[in-house]
Amino acid sequence: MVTSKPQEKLFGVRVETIRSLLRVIIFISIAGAAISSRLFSVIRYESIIHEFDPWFNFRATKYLVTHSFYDFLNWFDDRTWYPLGRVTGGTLYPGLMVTSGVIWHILREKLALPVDIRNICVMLAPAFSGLTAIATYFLTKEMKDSNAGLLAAIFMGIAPGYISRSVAGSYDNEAISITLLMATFYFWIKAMKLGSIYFATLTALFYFYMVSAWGGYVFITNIIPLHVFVLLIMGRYSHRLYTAYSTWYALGTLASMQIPFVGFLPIRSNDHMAALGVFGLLQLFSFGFYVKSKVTGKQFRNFLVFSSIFVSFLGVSALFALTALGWIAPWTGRFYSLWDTNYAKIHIPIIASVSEHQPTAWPAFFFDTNMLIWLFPAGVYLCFQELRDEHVFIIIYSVLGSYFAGVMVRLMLTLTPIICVSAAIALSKMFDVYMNLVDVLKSNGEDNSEETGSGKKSKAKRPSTNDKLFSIVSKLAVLLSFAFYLVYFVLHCTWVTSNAYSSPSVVLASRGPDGSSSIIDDYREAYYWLRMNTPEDAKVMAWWDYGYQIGGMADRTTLVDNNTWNNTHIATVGKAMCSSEEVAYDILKKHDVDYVLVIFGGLLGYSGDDLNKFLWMVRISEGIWPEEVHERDFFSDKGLYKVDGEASKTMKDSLMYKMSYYRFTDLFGGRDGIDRVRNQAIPLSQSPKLNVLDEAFTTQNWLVRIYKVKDLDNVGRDLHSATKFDESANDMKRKRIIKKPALDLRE
Amino acid sequence: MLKIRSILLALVCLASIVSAGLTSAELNSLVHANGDKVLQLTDDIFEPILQGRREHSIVVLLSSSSPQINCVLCREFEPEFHIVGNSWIKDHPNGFEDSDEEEKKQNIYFVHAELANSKRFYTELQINSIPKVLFFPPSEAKSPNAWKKEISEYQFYAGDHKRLLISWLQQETGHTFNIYIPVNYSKIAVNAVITFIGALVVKRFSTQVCALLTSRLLWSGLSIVTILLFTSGYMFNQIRGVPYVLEQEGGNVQYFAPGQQNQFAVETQVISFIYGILSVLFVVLIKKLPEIKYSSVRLFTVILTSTLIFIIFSILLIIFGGKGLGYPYRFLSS
Amino acid sequence: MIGQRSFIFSILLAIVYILGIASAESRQLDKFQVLVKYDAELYNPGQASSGTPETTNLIKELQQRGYELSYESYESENTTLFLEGEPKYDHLVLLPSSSRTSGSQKTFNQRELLKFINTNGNILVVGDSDSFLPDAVRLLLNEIGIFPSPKGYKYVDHFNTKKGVPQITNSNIVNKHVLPELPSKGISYKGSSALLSNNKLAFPIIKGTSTSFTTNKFEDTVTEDSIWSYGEQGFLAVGFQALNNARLVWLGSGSLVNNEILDWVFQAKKVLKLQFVQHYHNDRPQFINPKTYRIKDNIFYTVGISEYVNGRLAPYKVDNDKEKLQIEFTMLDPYQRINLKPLGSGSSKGDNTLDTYIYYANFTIPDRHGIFTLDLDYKLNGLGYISDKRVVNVRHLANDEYKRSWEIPNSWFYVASASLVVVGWFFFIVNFLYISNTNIAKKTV
Repeated sequence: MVTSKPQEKLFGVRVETIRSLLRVIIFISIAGAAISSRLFSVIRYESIIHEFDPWFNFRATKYLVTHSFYDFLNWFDDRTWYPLGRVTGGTLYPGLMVTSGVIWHILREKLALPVDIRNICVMLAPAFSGLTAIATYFLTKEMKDSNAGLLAAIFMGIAPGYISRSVAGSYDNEAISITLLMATFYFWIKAMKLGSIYFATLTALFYFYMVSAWGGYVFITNIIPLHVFVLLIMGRYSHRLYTAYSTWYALGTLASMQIPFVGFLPIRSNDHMAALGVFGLLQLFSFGFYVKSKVTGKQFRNFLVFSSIFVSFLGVSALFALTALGWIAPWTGRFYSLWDTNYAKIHIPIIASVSEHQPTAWPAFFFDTNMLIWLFPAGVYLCFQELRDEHVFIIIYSVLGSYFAGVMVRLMLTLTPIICVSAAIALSKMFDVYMNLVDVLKSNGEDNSEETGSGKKSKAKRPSTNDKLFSIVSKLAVLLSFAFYLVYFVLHCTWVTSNAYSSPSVVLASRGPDGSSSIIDDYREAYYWLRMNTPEDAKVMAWWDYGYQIGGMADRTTLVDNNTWNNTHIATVGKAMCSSEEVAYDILKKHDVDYVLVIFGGLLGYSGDDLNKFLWMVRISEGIWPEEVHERDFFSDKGLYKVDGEASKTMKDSLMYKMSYYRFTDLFGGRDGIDRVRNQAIPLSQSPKLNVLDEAFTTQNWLVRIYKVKDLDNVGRDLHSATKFDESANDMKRKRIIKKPALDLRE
Repeated sequence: MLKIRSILLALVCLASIVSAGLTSAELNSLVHANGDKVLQLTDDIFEPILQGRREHSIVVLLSSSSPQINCVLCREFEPEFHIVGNSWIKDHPNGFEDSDEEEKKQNIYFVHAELANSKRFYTELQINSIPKVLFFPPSEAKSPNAWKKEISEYQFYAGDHKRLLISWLQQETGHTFNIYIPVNYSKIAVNAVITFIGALVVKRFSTQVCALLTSRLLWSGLSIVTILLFTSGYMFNQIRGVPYVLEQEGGNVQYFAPGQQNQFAVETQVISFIYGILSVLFVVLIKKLPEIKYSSVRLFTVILTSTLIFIIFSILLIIFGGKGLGYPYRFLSS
Repeated sequence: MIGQRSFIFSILLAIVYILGIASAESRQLDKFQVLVKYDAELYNPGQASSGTPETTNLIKELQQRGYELSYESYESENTTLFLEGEPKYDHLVLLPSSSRTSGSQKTFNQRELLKFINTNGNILVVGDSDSFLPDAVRLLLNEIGIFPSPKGYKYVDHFNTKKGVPQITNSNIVNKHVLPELPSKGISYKGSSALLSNNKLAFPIIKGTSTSFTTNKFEDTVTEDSIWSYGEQGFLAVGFQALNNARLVWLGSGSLVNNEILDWVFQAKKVLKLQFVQHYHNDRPQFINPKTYRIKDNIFYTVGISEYVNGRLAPYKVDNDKEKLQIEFTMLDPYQRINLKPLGSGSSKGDNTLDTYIYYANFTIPDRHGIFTLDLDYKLNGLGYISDKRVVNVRHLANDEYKRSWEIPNSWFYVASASLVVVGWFFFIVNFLYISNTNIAKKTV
């Protein structure tokens, strides 16, 4: 600390005031940096909603602001999951939409600023990232001091691991949830330290906001009890802990049950049982302490042994019994896949198919946090050195967060804040030590008792000029090197944000051979075509990845979408895609499908297309119809995934294959077509023929292909023979002999 | 054991010249010569086992556990196959004996052909991909190479391999199969002993154990090591079962997998080591070095540590840059 | 009384639904345009007596009906059925031919004929055992599943003959909608027969007797190869109605031509029209055809159906149990399948002419939310098709539509215990703070 006394003055102004002023300025610049580094995509492309899930959130928000909150809450959505529909109001986390809805209303009615709801949605995530930085500041301040807090805030502001989910346009639940996560944790630490009902209530309030915004609230539901549990084991029970936790748990649980989607889960799902268990344990502890204060030590020991055995036996058997009776839901599939990493692979292909659920390789960690990743263990070590109650929290969060992030790429997001906090603690400690120039600046004659921190050595002997020089040089060396690293860190973050996380994925950018960049806008071209050229109630079938986008951009009814709640329905779509035309046509007709949409990257070289996801469609439908769909049938004889001449018959007959390569060879002027994604040749001779679909639209780069499902034949033929009849136009040769047809008996 | 086996084999081969094909009884003796009831196929015995007339059927697993091939499915499937094979022999130790009146019941023998041991067998069958499970039904052996044609192949589907394999075998043979998962007594015993000794140690050295359990050093070490492992992709290795390193043709060893989404197991070790060293150096820099009394020594060590951090960080960047992506930043050019 | 009310509403708010018969109706005042394709060797339209008596009879019938007849020979090179993509004729009569080829293959072939059907044109094909059907016609018939025997094959029946000629009687009639009965008790039949595929849209009108067969060898032993059809699998007259209600009739001989069949094929009878479809919530009949229902609502569903009789619309009343109208309430699978009940005659235009018959169904929506279809699908061979789909949403209960806790007796126990806890807690606090805490109070004092 430069100053130790509050009344010190600089230029006639109290140092404390200057400090607050500086802090505010720093905050404003941090928020500015955080927001502006998230604007790459808006500047480069336009103010557009990104990716997949945000399109649903955007659509829901539009519904909210055009209808009432009551309508929103009871929204039955007939535009998705045709013909099942979706009870959308009861199956979403409304926090995000309500937040932007409230902002929209305030801007409109209180400030008379009629901002387009889209712009609010686009800018919500960057705006909240500024708040996250502030929440992180307060959390870190509780751990060490405000210096560490400021460092953590700036790290949080620009760490790519968080930016990846909060660039402008990434209008997803995570956009506001991380803010709420940090705020909840801050208030929890505060409540736990002070034993304050006020702060515990605030914790519960933010917890409620978090529950309303993101399914990841379960992380809080488990980590706070774990924190308490570890503290209990460490023998750090206190009434402060009791007050904080009991208040939070009671209020938070009641509040969280007000969200329709959560409902009775907090008392019925195993995911939430840890919190309940710790709540019970705390009551026992406090009862134990009460007893202890009343009886002798010996009696208390006996009491402790018997009651603990009895209680634990009771608890465990009750848990088992309730689960067996079905009163408590077993762990959800996604939760299983976190612990038993093979579970998803075997049981739930739909979870395994999502690329966000894949494990994380080490480059992703470094990519997302750069040098913080190796400052992180150092920070944890420093926490161990002090090990106050709140440091235990950091340690638990670090270990659990690392595990989760290692198992699922997506959870990088929850790890990033704690990395920032830990690294900031470590780095600020370094600055404490090496920026302390007191001993250097102080003249020789002064009393060395004033010196603190690193000045211990000077107690032994008075610092000579040489010592001072050495000291300055060593400090400068360290400071300069770390200043260099920090500059590099900023460069890295900017580079990563600009290159990896700023693509809307709805609009693609490509670079020509001459280095010129061009924009590939096929998705919007196709969706706009659907919007303008199809009847308003047309049903569009596509793989579930595109459900939200079709709903949001084309405004057409979809069969399945990214809210993968009904595995069977998704499998039905998968089956239609991987079956032969005849089987598929029955499915299409049964579901009143008018248009089928596929993504085909073969011409452009876009690897995220449907043929590359095709095996997942096969696997998911195999899960439901193991008799009819076999993954093995889609591989060539050599067991390879082939689309060229060696492709298996099932593969060539599948609707997906036919839709992808229909008329593809036409582009190559009589030669075999080349698929640029799979680098395989599509032989001219096996160019697929379509009987049950008509090509309706293909975008400029063939990225999206839309097919219209043919009507039933007017004269009652199957569509295969109808096509044959139409094609026979070209050969007018006649059979001279009329042969008796081979017919079944007429019923 | 090996000797007995080879003698038996020699006998068997001799017999094979006469009858061109092992009889069920001969196979039985072969099977029981070993603890594992699944026969290991080698290049010298596949012909006597498979060629010629036979009244029993044979199920062959073709797989490889060699790290070069890195066949994940093989590793997954092999133990399951052995369990099914052993369970069958356990139910029918001597096959269906002649006294059994049910004539139609044919014996089944389970054979495992490891690629390394039976290269000739693989070339004879022109196998291009593994794993495969082949079923050789009873044969009249009209021609010497008849066994190569009378094959039906198991299709690998997702699910519980044991159950799928059994349902396939039931289709092929009409028998019913039971599964006995062998109880590993030695493991249980070892566990029991360890637990016992553990309990004993805890009882005897309760104060020390207590000290250990409450030791800050131990817990901090544990936590930091776990964090280091997880943040350097340990779970990736566990889930994906990636190879340790990639040995290319020509003896070159590749240590770092290209691409950001991929890695080899050795990378976890290298990277966690680098992170660990960097962290340790950093802690030393802020905790230990300021306590050195002599300023010259302090200067020297501080400079040394900083330089080390710089160099190791540079190495990290070089490794990271080598993963592709066109990452532009390096401190030192490699 | 609900039924009564709906009846009134249906009359007031009837919506006219124009189905496939629209085009035929709109030109009702004009003369129907009919093209007769003939073979110059067999018939000359200039000379009334040049053809067979059956042909002459047919032409006379057509003229009597007031159709505007055009004649074109099969050899004609400039036959076109369409003008600017619109059909030039309403009906087409195809007489037998002496040759298998026809003149203008570009404009008169099986695809043009199919297109004619697809644009609501009706076709009457008259066959004959001694002449050909032009390839275009034959291929068209084959495409819709009718396979007439080639030239030379004759319908033979040694058991039911009169003067050596096979006889057919009313018992040979399969479809009474098209042909209620033969003009005379039995008619002598000299002609060909056809095989029929299992196309649901094609149906026999007259079948062969069980002892009949069709062959081209009359002297030698009959072999498998020389027989086209056996017994009741040989059909002498076949009708066909496409999904757009266009009709086609193939007759094995000109002798089968009669008024009933002509009426049918030229859309003069058995043409149905869906006048209106209405559905509403039982309690809210003022909101017709709402988009959304709630689970377990009661739906009242009515339709009005007219039949075209003697040039005007008349109520269509089902008197046959097998032909009842059904409504399905479907989401992937039918959740309800209900016979519509007759309500009585009504008017579709709001005046007093009773031109439509009203049917209704009243049912409860299942306890399942989703997007349901009210599917009326009435397709009987010989009758005009009626098909109507109404998509409605069935939503779940809103958050304030459940019973409140105090309305459920089971919950009283829990409500009581919860309030007891609250009260108890309050007294505990009071006790803790002010009553039992005297010691501390003393100390602080």
